[in-house]
Amino acid sequence: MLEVQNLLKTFSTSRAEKRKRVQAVDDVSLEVKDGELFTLLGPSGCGKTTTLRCIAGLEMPDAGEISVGDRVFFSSTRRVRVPANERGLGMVFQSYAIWPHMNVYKNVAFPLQVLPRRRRPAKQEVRERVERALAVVQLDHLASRQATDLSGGQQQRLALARALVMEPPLMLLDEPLSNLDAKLREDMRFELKRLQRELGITGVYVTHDQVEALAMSNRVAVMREGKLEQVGTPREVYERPSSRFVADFIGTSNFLDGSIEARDGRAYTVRTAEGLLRVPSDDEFAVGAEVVVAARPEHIEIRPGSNGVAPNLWTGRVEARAFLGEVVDHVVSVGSREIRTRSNSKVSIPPPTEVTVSFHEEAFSLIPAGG
Amino acid sequence: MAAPAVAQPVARSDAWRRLFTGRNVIVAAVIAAVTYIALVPLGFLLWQTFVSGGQFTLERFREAYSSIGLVEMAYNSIAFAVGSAAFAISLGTLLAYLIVRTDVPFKPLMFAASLVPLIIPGILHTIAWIFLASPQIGVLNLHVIQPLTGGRSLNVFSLPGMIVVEGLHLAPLVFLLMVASFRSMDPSLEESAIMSGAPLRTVFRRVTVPLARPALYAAILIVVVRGLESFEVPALLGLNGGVWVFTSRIWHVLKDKPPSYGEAGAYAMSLLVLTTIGIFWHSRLAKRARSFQTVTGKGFRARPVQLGIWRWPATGLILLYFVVAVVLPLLILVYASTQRFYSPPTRATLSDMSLDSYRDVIHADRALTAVENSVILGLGSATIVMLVMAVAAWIVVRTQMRGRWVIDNLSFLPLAIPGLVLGVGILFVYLRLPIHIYGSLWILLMAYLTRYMPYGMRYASTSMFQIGRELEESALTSGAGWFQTFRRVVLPLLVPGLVAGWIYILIVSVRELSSTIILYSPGNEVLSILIWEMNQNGEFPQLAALGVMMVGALIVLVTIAYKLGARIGVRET
Repeated sequence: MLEVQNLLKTFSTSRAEKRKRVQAVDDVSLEVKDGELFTLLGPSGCGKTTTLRCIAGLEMPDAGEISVGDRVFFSSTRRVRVPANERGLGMVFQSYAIWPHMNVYKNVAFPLQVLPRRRRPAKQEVRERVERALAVVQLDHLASRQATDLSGGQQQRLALARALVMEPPLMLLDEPLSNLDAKLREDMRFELKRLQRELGITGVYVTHDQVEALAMSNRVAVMREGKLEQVGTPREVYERPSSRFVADFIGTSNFLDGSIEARDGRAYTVRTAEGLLRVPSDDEFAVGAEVVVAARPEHIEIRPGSNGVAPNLWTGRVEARAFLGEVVDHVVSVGSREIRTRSNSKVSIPPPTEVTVSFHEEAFSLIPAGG
Repeated sequence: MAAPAVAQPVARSDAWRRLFTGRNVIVAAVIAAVTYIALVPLGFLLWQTFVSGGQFTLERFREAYSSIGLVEMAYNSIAFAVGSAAFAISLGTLLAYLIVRTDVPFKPLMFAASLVPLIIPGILHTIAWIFLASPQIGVLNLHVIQPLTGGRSLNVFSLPGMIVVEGLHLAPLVFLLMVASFRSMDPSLEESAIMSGAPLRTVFRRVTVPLARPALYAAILIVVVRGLESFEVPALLGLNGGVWVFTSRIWHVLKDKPPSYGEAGAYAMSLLVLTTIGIFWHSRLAKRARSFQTVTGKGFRARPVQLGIWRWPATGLILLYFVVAVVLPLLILVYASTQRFYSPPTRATLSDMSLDSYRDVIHADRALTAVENSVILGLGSATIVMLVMAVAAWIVVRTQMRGRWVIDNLSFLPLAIPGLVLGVGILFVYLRLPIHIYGSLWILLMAYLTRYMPYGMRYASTSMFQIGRELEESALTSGAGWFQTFRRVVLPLLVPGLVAGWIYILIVSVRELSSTIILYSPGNEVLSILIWEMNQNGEFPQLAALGVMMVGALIVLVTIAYKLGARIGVRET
């Protein structure tokens, strides 16, 4: 559906640093399949929004190729540049960008009214399509309301209806939920996901919120400094991060530096300063290679007392404890290292208590050092 | 959702067609208009003044300064400008501090008074002060000063007199600028100084004043430049007392038969140099001031300073200011309008009032013509300026176009050009170019467009900044082209700002005198010129009646502008 190849976009920085150019998007290639919700995830400044704006046509890339279906929107080699208003994509902005001088109905009708005359639908059809779009987002009863009188959640849905009314081949969503309060955001997340699946919308979704990305997407692309760091299903990205950055950005991880001591089929034995770990991995590592083991806190168990030391079974002391409602976090020191664990709220061990730290194998991902 | 055909690579002819889109044509036209308006009169002024027979010459300056010395005129101009600025700055800043930061009463009165320069045109203000303080017929002299001092009088036709009259007219401008500055100051900065143990006057000296300094510099620049380019006061008061300044001199040599264009150009250039120095000096000061400017716009107010025993003198000052700056000038105008022949008020004249002069004015053809011309010029210049500047502001604020800052600076350039200098420049342009608009209203329209372009830019760009970029982008992604986006999204959202600017330009254009007096020709009089001519002819009651009606109309306009201005947060005086 959407194909982006070798996209490159640079910006010149402030006048103070003349001639210095920042690579906002650095050789990004990606493909989004029909009916898929594809998420660009990353910290602010990673280039995710710039990538989205290049697809929308709001930014001109320096090089690369962008096409949707069999329509080429941008190609630096073939010198194609289709302006944003001729691309026919739907876009939902972070601020919603609801026009305050129009009412709900007019906001949604706008994309149809500005079509070139020969493609513009008749008045009756415009009305039907607007009403249908409003019904989909459950705003049909507010059609004559002034757009500025809507609540945040309603404005959000209005922005969605405005993008839907064109029946675009591709929807672009730029952090659409980030301006809502926490509770509403969760509701809208499910709502948006339901709509996307029901209407079979193909979409590119930009967010910095990992929970949102994991919950909504078919596939996630984690971006860092203008490059794609990892692309995969939410589960792949979460459970098998390919780099320390991805493991750190999505969820929380303990990072344990070490080297491969032995290999037994899929299982590697890693020596760290604090003890041995037995880590399964599909990737190839040579014996002696420097690695980082990322361990998810929710798969690390602690219990009082020390039962000696074995691979994945260490002894430590509880340093701090935090009750978070659904879960309890402990910080356990092992040697000179602090390890964060997360357990259900029944486990609560006061500091300072000697504990046995037990790593479950699913806690681990094995990452090359420096990755 | 059938995808339309594949977009083909751009062919050469296509590239040409893209170059001539509606957007590019409009943008190019606006850039050309702004450049022409800002640069051509200045260029002609330089050329006409320094070049003679294809050679560089300073001959014009020698001629110009042979009758009255450059030194004397520069001294008068600077003394007048700096004096009236000092008067206006001290008065305006003191009043602003009292109103914003203390518990002084009658605050609304002061804000009403601050509108006076908008409501009473400079020429009416000056004439009112002749009625009030001339040595021969001044009411104040006859009824207050002479009885008190035993026969001596105030002389409004002197440099000190000019300074006070001009200063009174400029003070409200300073007041408004300083009110804005005092209001936007974060009170916690002062409160933390108090918590550090500093007494109130130390806080004022070490914290409040330094924080207000950038605004103070801006105010000083504006009023000094206003003083330099002021025409009404020097012409009506100064000529009577033999105090020549650049502006009155320019007007004088152009009024001669035959007019000496060379000398006018030399004076105009000299004045331009002075205002340019002022602006240069300000930009240096402002650069230094910015480094410690930490004024933030918090929403809460500091507890007003308790004046204690000083409350009564402060109240007295505010009331005195209100009476002197507002009540007296308006009263004397109203009084004058009710007389058949002007003479200072006595019991006899007060018991013999009539509205005949109003009838005279309403039925006079020249008054109708003047009103018509003023309205045509006001509506025309306000509409053209706001529409062109809406596009210019869009170019500057929204696009990434290279050199867009040039457009920004060009559109503010006329702010540095005194009205008379601009008048001379435009005169040179249309005496030389084969565009025959001299002697028609068109040349006045050109002058007004130039003078008000900066205000239009200010209003348009301020409201452009308030429109989120995404509102435009969402129109683009919805499939709207540039023109549709501009017409259906940008313009409607700009409307409050554009209308406020439009009314503001309407107001100031009705009072415009200093460019008009150079460029008008008989038959093309506007309101301010008619008042000027009536004053020359001694038709004081008719003049006063016309003035009172004009003030009434301006009050209505100013009220509307103020309401709109308050809504979008743009205010300009």
